[in-house]
Amino acid sequence: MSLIQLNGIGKTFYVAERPPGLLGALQGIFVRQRKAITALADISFSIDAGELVGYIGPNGAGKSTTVKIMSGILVPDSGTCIVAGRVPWQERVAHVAEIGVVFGQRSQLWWDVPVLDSFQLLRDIYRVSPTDFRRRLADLADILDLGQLLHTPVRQLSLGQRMRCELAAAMLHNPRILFLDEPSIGLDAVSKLALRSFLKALNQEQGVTMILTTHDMADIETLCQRVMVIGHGRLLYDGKLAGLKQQYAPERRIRATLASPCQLSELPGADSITISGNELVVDFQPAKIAPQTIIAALTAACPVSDLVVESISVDEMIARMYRDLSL
Amino acid sequence: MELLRPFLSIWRMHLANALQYRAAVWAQLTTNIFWGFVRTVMMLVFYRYGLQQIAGYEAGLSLAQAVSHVWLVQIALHLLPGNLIDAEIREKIRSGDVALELCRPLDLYAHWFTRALAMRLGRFFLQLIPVTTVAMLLLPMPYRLQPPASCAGLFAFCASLLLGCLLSCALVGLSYVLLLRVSWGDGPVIILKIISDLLSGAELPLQLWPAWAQRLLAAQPFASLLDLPLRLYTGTLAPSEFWSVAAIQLAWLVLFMGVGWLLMQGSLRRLLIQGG
Repeated sequence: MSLIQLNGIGKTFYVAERPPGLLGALQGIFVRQRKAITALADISFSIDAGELVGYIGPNGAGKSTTVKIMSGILVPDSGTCIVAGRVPWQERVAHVAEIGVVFGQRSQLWWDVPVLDSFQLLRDIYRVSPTDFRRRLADLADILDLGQLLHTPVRQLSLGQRMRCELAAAMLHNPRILFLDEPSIGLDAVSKLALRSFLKALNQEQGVTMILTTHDMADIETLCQRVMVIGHGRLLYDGKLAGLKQQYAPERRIRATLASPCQLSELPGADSITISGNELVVDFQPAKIAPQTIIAALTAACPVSDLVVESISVDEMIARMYRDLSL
Repeated sequence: MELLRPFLSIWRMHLANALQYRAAVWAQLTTNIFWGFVRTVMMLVFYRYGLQQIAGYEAGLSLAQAVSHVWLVQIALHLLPGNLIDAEIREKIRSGDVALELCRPLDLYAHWFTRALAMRLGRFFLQLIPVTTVAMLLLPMPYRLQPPASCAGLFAFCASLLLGCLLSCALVGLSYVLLLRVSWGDGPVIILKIISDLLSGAELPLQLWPAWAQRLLAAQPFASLLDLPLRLYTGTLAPSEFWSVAAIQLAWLVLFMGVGWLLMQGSLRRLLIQGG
């Protein structure tokens, strides 16, 4: 029995539209045109307890809408959704007591008061017992290095500091499921690393089930064994990141540094060759030609001082996938 | 008690918040007293130069009672619906942060009602002692707030004022529902605010309105916010009338809370939250 089960979920928004300008506004008083926007067309997936799933897609693909439906905030137009045995929007209060949410672009802390005050309020809202609260807060403060931050008003925190507090706030009531909607947005490199190691530990040590939406492919690469790609309200891919790479990024890239300038327009078996300055890039498919063959041909043709073979970055792969599916 | 724990905690938080900004407290206090004084002067002018056979004299509202009414309005000002919407919740609805409010294991109506109550009582208690001191002890006659008509009247007034404050919060709850229908804009809430200011007796005691309208004015919901409780203080209603006043107040309270709660459930089903 999976922990989260979505079946044929659809959601359409209606947006009022009017022609631009003053005349358009006048016209809008009498005639209203509504445009239907299909945020989700037909989404089905299931997630088992303890999974950490990356949910990716371009802006406006429907990621946040899916997360909001699973959190019980939005009601879908069609389909069924069961999370931990409940229909989220029908038993919202009981449901949200068991989940944690982090929306990267919104804050659940109270702006004017010290962080600890917010935490204590959350303790009472979620009815966490004082002993449990003390223990969890000590743990979280330790892992996330909250220390001094607890006594600082939220408005005086940096974004990275605030995000650490947001994570702690989402975990105070010990939820089994954590929804993270773009948690790494706007964070610097150090904060991103801290975020990732925290999520990884939480998932592996406490078995918290997580769904993570992000635009940061490094998040996905370090955290998620499984990815779901959504575009135009439909699920385009659901499986291992490696499988996605095989399907959309089968080629390898040789990045060579040239010792001296070299003209090279063709190599047997290479898909493309680009030279810029003293850097030479060759794309090839290991399925068609063995790497050692092409490297041998390359080093024979040009004076190479350094060389690495890498796979296409996940960013590029996703961009390619969007292009292929014309999203 | 366990059931109320979240709400008590929200209450504590907003009470503490209301006390946080000293400058704002002083500004409110001086404005409040200044306006009270200006209104007292207006009332004196009305009574001195007004036609004797109309208005207050016929309604049985003496000048001293009318002046007391003005000061009591200033004291109870923060219990009224006021601007109805608190800026933070308006912002949450505008920006979609209301999504996070919905991630709390609380009924949203109960949550926002509690918040409205906490903020009102917080500001009220902050102003209670200073404004009362100035109005009752420092000002000379005839600008002065008179003591309550009787001890029983004072108790009846306090109980009735509390009911009025709960009714304020029910109106606030209703305006949040109106605001959740984002496409309606602020219009309905502004209309509600103007009506409640006028008909609650905060601008002018309802007893100074035309005699033919008096029964209607006393029965309409906004009188229950303030005007009816004040009559128990000034003695134009005897303490024994408390129960009939409370019955009217309770009836409106139940009605507004019920309608607010139901409409909010409907709004939440239709809620749209876009972006992020």
